Amino acid sequence: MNERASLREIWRETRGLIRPLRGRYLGAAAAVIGSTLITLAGPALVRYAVDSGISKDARGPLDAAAIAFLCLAAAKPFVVRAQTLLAAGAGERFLGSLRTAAFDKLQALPLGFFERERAGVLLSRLTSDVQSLTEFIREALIEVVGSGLQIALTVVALVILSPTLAAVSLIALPILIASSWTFHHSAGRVYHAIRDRVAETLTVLQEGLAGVRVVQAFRRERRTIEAYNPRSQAQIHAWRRASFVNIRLFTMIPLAQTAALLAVLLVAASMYRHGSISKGTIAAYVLYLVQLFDPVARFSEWLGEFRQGLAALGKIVGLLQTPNAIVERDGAVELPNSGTLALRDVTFGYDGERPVVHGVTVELEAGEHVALVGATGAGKSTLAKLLTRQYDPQSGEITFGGVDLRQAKLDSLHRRIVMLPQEGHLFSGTISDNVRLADPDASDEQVVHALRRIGALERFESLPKGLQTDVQTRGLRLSAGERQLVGIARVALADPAVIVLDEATSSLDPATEAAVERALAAVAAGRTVVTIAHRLSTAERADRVVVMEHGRAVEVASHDELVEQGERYAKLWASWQAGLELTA
Amino acid sequence: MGQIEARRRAAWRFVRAVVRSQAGGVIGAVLSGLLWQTGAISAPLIVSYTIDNGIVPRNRHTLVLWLLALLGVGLLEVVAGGLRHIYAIRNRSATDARVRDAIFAHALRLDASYHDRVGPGELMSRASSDSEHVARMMDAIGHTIGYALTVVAVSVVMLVVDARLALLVLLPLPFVSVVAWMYSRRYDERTRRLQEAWASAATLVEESVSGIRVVKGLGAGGALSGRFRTRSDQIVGRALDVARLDAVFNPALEVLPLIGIAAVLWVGGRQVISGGLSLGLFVAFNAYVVMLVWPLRVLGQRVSTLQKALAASARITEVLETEPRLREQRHPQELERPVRGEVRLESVRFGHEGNRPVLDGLELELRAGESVALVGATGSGKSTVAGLLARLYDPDGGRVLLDGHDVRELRLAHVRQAVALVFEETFLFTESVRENIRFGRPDADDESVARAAALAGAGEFIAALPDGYETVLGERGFSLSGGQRQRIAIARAILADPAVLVLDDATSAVDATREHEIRAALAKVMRGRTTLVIAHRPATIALADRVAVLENGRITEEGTHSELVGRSARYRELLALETEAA
Repeated sequence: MNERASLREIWRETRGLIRPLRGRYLGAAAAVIGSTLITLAGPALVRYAVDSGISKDARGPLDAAAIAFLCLAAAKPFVVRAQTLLAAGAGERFLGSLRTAAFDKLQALPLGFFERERAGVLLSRLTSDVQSLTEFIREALIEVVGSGLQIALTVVALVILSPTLAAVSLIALPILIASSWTFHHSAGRVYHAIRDRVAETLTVLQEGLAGVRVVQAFRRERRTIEAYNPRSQAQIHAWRRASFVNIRLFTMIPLAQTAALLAVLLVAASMYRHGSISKGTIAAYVLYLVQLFDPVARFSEWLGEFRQGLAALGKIVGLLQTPNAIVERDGAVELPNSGTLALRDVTFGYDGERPVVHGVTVELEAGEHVALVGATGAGKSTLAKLLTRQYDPQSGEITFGGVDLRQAKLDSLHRRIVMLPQEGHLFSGTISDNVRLADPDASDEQVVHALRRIGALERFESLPKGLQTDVQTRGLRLSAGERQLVGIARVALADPAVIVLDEATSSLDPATEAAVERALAAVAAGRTVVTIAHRLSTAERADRVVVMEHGRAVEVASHDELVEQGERYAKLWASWQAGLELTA
Repeated sequence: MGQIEARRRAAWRFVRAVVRSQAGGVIGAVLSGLLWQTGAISAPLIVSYTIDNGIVPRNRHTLVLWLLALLGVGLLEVVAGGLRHIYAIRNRSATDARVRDAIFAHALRLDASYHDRVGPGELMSRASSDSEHVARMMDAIGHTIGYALTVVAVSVVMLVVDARLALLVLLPLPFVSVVAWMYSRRYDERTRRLQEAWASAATLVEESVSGIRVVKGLGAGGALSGRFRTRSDQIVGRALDVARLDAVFNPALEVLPLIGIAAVLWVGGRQVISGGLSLGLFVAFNAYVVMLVWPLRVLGQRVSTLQKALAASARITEVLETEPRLREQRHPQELERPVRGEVRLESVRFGHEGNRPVLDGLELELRAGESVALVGATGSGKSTVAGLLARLYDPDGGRVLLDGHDVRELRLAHVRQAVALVFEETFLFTESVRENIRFGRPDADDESVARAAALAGAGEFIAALPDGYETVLGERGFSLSGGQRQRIAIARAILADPAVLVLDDATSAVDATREHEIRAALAKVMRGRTTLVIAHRPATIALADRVAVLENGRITEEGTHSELVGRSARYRELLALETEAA
């Protein structure tokens, strides 16, 4: 994951999200311009009333100015309302599409990414980072357009009033440039540091909360908090450092203003002595100069938000840009409904050097059940990940029905080949929602049908609210076996051609265990099944056994044949049998 | 309605407590804010004096004097502005941390039954997003009070200068507070709904990241993306609901000073013409009204900042004011050592809220050093018994006794030290293997860790890990198989050396062929130690001195494994011994 995307990268990634909101943004900008112009027109009308009306004792111009002013005042709330609604509409929609783009990206990234990144960091990208953008995005347009316009118009007025004094005012410029430069030089770093500290804090929080039962059972509350506190403090420190960087900019603006005022007044005094400037011009000029610094100050305060937002945006864009090797190729094709699953000389290693799977060649007939057997680290799980295309092999190929998985449409790949992990993870929501995860469009009948097919319908229907029972977060109220049943029901609903099954090793109580086995048998019937077998009884039932050793498929044959051969599998089987006798 | 009122009151209480806790920072922010404000207001005045008394009369001496004053004001603004900002950020980050720390610390104190209901995603959103809203309020508080005081000061000056004209300008101001009050309820409601939408999106992210294997295996990314889009759209919709309130309130606030200016212009202008008001005062009045524009706009925005902070505070206090149902007595008894490990459950009743009780009149005794296997069907409440022994839960009725003391009267730390629990679902932290094993006894030396690992049958595979005992486990760490994880958890419990050991299905993920390897070790660990074993495999059950069958919330049968196999059909059925024979 790229940790710091550059401004150009940010623009490239977000351009597409902004485009549909162009109309709203333009409308909001127009409203901001209107509201700024109304604000600026006020003093002009007052001056007109004073100069042409009051000082000449003429009521006409005074009334005219007052009526004009009232009209503007009456128009203002509508302009401000439009500005508020349009800016909020554009801003929130932009954030919404950024959020969903980040989530979609997260879903598109392969498993390997999640094995590297910590949950807390990913969580902070999609929650805290996006949220810290809200103010910035909503205020951005109003501040940039509003203050920008005000500054531009004031500068024009200054130059018209007195080009000489305008030139003198430029003395403020070096201060402004220098302070902006030192600010921007460090701002990126300090604000990125804040986002990093936030992510670290959330990571510790997430782990502490997810593991709270263990923490409590082992009286680790204090130590957990002690481990957490430095992260929390580090976040405060990061903020403090940001505030020190910010004041480089914020405090230099009144300084620049004072310098400009002093210079202008000194030069004006000498010009006045020489009679080259009028009293009124000096007064007006200085008034404009004072007014100029109001939008400048606001703009600079907004720059602080801007840098913070930019840092957060950079993090999110960094996530969006994470290269994804598992993408759909151009001209990808649908996988056939069924066919042979063939591995030809497949080699793969996580670091690209040490192969974890080495030259594996196996061919699975449609409907065949194959068990992968081998010690931990022999490459069984990696092979399973290759079959579901969580990774692509470095050499060799995996084909289904003659189509290389890399040439297949991802959607059809996901529909045909499904992996069932050991643990049945549940999402908050109802049981029915959880089953529907496999096919969001499935009807209630289809969900019921899937549960019935695996023989689990009655078990769940007997719950207080039936299939509408809320499983609660992480499904702590459903037992391990019931969670597995939900997982199997998902597969039944997905109706794939190939199931890659990481066999659950948990021994459940026999009644549930039997239910799970029945469910698995029901869902496996008629499909190609590759099982990572932890029990050799599973291997015994399979049509064929693949024995893995150091990444190679060293023996491939039926259980009986392998036992007869009397080599590696036969030894494993013998020790398994011995173990079972001890168990019984 | 009463509940909403109570929530609002609690939220206000919390906000006040937060402000009090940062009293120094708030005072600093207000004072530096006022100084800054003073500088900003006096600068134009000094400039006009410079022109009138220095430049126009061509008086060099006075000119230099006023210019020096201007320089002084400029420097004041630099210093006060800097301080104001530093204080604001300090208040913000300190508040954020304080709230988050409080939630985390409190969540760790809350009992397991609370965490059964409220998942980590939900708590995370309170500790990060809600605390952020309170922090933003603290960021703004100095500026806001400064601006409010400016409004008051300017109003007073105007009243002194010309009361009639001032009243004309100030009359609409009370109207603002009426509007603010009227819409604060709706604001409260809508902001709360927005924050709930945020929390539900955050929960989905948390769940899909922690369940990523299921998601990837099913290719369910699309389905989740769909769900997330719905929740994200909900956030957008609710944020816009809040913006629609802003769109009523902000224009009202913006237009008020304009009406004031118009009133001064028209009424005041006529007074000047008719000679009732001097031109100088008229100009000054105008300047004062203009001074109100920006503070009023900011104050308007702060109303929404405050409302968001209040809505967030309500959600935060919901967590903080949840009393842990499980509390240590004020004067807890010490558990005398050595702990004998005598455990008795007396007519224990326990039920998750609303549902029918899981345990109902449960009687179970474990003599010191005795091992008992608890057998029962799924959902019979075995894990609840395990949690009761370690006092992760308290029973709704009846008592749990340890060495003859009700565990509720004992020091909680003593109970949890005396009872070690190995959970069915293993949780490993993102730390080294060594630290994970040392979890219950952080001061254990490397040798004891290795011994415990060896006893749990984990020594061998740990040695084969890339960095041995230093290998980092957990989410990002090396992924272990379920059985390996469980063996680390068992090592963790062995190292803790408890008087009472509770194994809640702790060997379930260990391969049957490997279980016998650790069974010998378990037998050794269990010797002389009170042990409650929850298991399904007959061989593991046979390790225990005695078996108790849990059904319908109570112990229905007790005896040794072979006795029960001999006499109880239900027992044979539970262990599926019949089917195996068939």
